[in-house]
Amino acid sequence: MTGRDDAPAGMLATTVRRLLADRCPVETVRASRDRWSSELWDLLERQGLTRAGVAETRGGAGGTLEDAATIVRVCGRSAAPLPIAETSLLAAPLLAAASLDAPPGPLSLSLDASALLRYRRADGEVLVDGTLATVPYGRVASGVAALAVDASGGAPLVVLLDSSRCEVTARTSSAGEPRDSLSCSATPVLLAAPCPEGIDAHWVRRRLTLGRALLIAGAVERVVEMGVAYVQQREQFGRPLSRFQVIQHALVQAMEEVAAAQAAVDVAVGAFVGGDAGLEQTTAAVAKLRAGRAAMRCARAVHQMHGALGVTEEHSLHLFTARLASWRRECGDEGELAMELGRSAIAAGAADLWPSITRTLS
Amino acid sequence: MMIMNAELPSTAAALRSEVRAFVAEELAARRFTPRCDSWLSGHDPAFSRRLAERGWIGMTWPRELGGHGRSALERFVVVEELLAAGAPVAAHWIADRQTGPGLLKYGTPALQQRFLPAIARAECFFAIGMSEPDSGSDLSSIRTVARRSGDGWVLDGTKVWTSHAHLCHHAVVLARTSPASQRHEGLSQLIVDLQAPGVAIRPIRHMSGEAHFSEVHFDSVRVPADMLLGVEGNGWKQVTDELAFERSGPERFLSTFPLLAALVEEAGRSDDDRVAEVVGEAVAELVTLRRLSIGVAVALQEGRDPAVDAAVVKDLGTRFEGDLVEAVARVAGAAAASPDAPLWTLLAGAAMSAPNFTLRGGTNEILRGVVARHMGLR
Repeated sequence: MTGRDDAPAGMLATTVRRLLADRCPVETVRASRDRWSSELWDLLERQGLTRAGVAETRGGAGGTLEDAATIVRVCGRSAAPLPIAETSLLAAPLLAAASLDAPPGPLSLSLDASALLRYRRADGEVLVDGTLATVPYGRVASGVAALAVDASGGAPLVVLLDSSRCEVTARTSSAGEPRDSLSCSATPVLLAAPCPEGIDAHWVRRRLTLGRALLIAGAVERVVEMGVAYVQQREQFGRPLSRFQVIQHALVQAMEEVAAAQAAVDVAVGAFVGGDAGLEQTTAAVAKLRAGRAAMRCARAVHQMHGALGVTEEHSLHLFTARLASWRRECGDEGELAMELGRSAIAAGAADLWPSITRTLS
Repeated sequence: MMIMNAELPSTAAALRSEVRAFVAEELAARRFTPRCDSWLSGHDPAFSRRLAERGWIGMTWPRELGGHGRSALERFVVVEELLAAGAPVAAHWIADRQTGPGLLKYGTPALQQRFLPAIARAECFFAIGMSEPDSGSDLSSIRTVARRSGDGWVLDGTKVWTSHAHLCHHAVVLARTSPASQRHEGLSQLIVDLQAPGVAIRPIRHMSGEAHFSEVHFDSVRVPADMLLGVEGNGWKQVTDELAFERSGPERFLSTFPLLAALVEEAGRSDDDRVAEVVGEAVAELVTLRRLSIGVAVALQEGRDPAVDAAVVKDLGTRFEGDLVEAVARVAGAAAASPDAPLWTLLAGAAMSAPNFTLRGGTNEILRGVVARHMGLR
């Protein structure tokens, strides 16, 4: 699509894209299965890219939620092996909202929005019990955020855990990304504060959904670019694959899916900037649904173009398509998201159907 | 790859409320029944005049020429509201959407004065004279010719798929005006009075039984010199510009919205997960397509060429329109208890129209070629 790269989001995206093209090549992604890319994280942190949207007074980098979203999407485009969504869209703003000063470094939290720890107070400390599963990069995080409730089921706390004080079980997703389990048993937390107004498991869930949608929207763009590059250089029957109309049309349709994914996340980011919880919920679901569908179609088309070469471990296509498949399954099953959207529309009635759509961008 | 920024103007909310109030009034007075494809088959000159009275035709044209000096995005708001409501906008649709902009860009002051105010008042309707029996996707192969005769031309040839030609006053006809020219060269656009001697209009019956398409035969039709639109020989460029307007609107994904609304209306009574899933998927697609379409309107407003992005919206949108018909057909039985429910009529109608969605306004396969070229693949 013809773009507006002079717009602020365009300039930030271009800057981050160049940075990652240089410092996060596919070799870094490949190596991340066995090592944590601490230099890459430190570089992004020094550039103020890991805590965008959180006030500097709260340990953030300043900037807006829109900035954070742009950075997450561009990180998805490079399959950057970092908990960027978890830090900038979730843990950092969560702690800031609770007036807590988060330590520097990578932060994380469970991808299961309903995960809750149990807490009690003892000797002026807050101690937690429970298990947090699917924590991206939990083993290297400088802090893992969570919500915790006490035995009386009263108002929850926002807590930050030191993973070195938990029992960490290293696990990886099918795409080779760390999704660790942290078990706590009377574990003292690093930080704790009451949950502020508006922060709850729903808040977490909406942002987790948005984060995945952004990563997917970034990665599908990269996958289609790889498809375009491949068909322009691979020759069969005496000419590049790109000369065959069927290939051209397949790539066009894949590019259309990229445009759709980006449009859907763009609407969601706009809604999150606006701050209406209902709109955030709807548009996050739309974004993840649509980006997920785009991921399926793009991966299928681009793998088809690459032939058998594209499914080898040696080729880099799987680094992106395996992540797409994995991210689609995280933070919101697509069938459930569709049903929730549908039930909500049906309950609101036919007269509100069109207005509910125009409210997403008005 | 960045998509265009999409923001609606601050006037949008108030304008949207106005249109909704108007639509509600019209529905309450039973002045129209919501239907799919209303921009094509909902021909209602009286409705068009009521829109004109409110300043909703010719919205973006200069006031001196009968327009209302409003922005492309404001027009978008009005148009999407009317289409979502399934309102009968077909009579003025082509004149408003593309003939007017064509006249503004290429018309002489005399032509502008003659036609624009009348179009904006919904008193003058236009048809498109491009496709021919032997020239569809391959438009530059047209054989309609206009030979110089005295001060003007004599037009011979046949145009086809002309919507509502029998109800229109004029057509903008693409004709070959340079005798020996080939393909894109030597083409011109002529404004032809459809009441002129030598014009014969034959309706083409659609498989749905409707007959809004026509074949228009020109047999030595005299066209005065001052009815040339733009520059002689510049027809291809002018038509390309016009097509950008034709392909850029929200009708490219909203044609079947009334069907979805009817499903939701019925679904409240059942509690079927399958229906919910269909509705949810459709809502996600609609939000997405609308965002893309607004991006195209922004490009138009800023004077940028939206052709590639419009092609993307058209391909995605028209496939969605067809997919929606399929999806609704699968679950309609679970939703609609009554055989009298409007859902059934809308579904039957939409199923008949469905093959056309991906053909009209530029066959999707051709549009994919446009995008492929832009991507550097051709």
